[in-house]
Amino acid sequence: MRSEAEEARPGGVRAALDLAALVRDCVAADVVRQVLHLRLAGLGPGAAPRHQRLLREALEPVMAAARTRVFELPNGDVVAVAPPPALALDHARQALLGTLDAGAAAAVQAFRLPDCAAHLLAVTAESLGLAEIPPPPPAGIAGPPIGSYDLAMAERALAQADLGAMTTAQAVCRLDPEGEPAEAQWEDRRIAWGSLAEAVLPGIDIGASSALQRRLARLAETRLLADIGRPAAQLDWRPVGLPVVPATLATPTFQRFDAGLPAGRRREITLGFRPADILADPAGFAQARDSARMLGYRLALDDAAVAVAAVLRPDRLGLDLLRLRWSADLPLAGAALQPWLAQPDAVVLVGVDRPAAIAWGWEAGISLFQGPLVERRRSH
Amino acid sequence: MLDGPQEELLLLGAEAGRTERLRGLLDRLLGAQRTAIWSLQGDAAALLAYAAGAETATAEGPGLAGLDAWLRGLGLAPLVQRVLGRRIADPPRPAFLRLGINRVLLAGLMGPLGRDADLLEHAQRALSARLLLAVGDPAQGRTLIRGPLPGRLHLPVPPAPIRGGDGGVGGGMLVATLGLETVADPAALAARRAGLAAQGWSVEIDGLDAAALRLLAPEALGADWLRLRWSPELPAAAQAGALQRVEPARLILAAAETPQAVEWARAMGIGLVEGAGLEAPLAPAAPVPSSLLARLGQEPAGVPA
Repeated sequence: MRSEAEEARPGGVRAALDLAALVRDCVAADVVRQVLHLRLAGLGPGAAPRHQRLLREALEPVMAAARTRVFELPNGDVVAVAPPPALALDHARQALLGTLDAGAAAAVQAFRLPDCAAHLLAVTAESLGLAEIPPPPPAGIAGPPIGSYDLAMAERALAQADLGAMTTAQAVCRLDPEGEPAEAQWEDRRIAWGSLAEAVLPGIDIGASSALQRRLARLAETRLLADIGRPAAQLDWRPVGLPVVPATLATPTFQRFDAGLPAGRRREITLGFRPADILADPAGFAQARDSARMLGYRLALDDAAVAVAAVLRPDRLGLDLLRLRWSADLPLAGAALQPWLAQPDAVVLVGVDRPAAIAWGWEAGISLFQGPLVERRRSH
Repeated sequence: MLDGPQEELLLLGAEAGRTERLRGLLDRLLGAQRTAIWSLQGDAAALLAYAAGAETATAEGPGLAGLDAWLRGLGLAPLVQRVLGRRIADPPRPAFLRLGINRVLLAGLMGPLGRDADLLEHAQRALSARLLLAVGDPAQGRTLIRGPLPGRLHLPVPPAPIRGGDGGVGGGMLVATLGLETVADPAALAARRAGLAAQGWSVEIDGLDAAALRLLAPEALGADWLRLRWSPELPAAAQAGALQRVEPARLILAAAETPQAVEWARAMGIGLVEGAGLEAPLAPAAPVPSSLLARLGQEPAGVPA
């Protein structure tokens, strides 16, 4: 089946690569192109043959037109690119919309380069199968919920454990549509709860009690702070961001950390507050935020899902930065995100694992990204 | 006036109305609810537990590892706080009953651990889960509810549904109270609310004080009831937080110990208040329907995970 499809479209991969190159050239030279994208891959398998015939007939004039390049992508999508005024593309689009039923009309999309370069690159990556994300492993049967005894044991273990294996570090990078190389702005460090639980609480469901997990987070965070504040770390300094529980800021460890920082260092440290911690103790959060602001730290709302970003309002929170968690429903959020996206410079899109995330971010004006895909780009 | 073992002050033998007013003043002065009132008729058990707790509290309270075991051995009844909610009317009439865990008393019993907000929260949740089961047990339920039920019964429920339960049936009379933290996951909250609604429970979000209203959009909170906590800063925070966008019939004003609080509630169109600010004789209410107690067999199970 697959070999047949490949035979039918020889050079599908080559077409995708050529299209990606064309998009980059258009962006680099700021050349305007009109684009018609037929999402044949998105049509249902039953309807496909009839639709495909209709679409190909409607495409005939486009294929024949001079100055139009047609790319048949590996997944069956067809992309036609032409310089404006591309009458052939317009006519083909009208004809296609006329022949398709309303449900399938979304399969025909028209846009322009270089404005929608990110989107088109995402389409290309998707056609190559790069955007397919393996489904998350099925959640195993959760262990017994954490209790006070488990917490006491975990705290003892955590006090001596090697923290390196229980934390993750990812770069927050500035990516811009012009194709400049990814530029790391600061390093996000945080507890990897999965690894931490494995190391100090094997078999116990650590997330079963947000209160006990928060107390454990305080301990892990103070250790992380002590590590960041080491004199050796000051010599080889890189800007850093980390999430903290508001109560952490009132601990002696934090005060020691703060007192040991060289002048001017605090504005290179971004402290993130999680939505759940903020809501668990709004007054405590407000106090921690005000004291951290007075000391000169940069403050962020940590890893907010789109739904909670709609509940917490940027103008009220008094934070500098929103770390917005990417999810596939983000492009559909619409008005809920408007207050946050009014200042796209103050947004970091995190959990970026596919090109569509970056594409959406660019369209929303966001240029700071973090996630596995960003890490892969940096390592190339 | 006596000194307690944990640097608290005890005022003994005061007249009930004056005590309530004094309490309102003190809570305002201290900026939080730091006081508790016991009556010799109603709260003898709580008073005895306090005296017993005072003896053990000098002995440090429980250790961290043994906290859960200590909580399981703790008598529940003395820690249960009953709050009568009333509807502003002429005369004011009882509207609902709220049962919860007395956090101040619990913190005192916990000793040094009680000063850790996260551990106190954990202990309160553990006892709330026990309270839920106890209310569902007909024998204990009657003692806890103590007399006529004036209307809906508000009970704290665990933040996540318990798996595998059959679920008690609320019949529209039961309100599940959830902490503000659950709002951080709106999808889970919506699922929880739907699961509870299917069992006849409505959902209340607790913890909306002046600080909370300064941060969030109250109209975006997905719950049937929102419980506000009065403080002199609340009116300004409510105005800044656009509280008027919320249907006032969904709001309950707690800790309304002063006439100003009640006056503000009236101006906002809030009909339900808790606290002594609404001084009035209580009208006799209907007896507890025995069918309701029987249906309260189990903890609400929410949606199956």
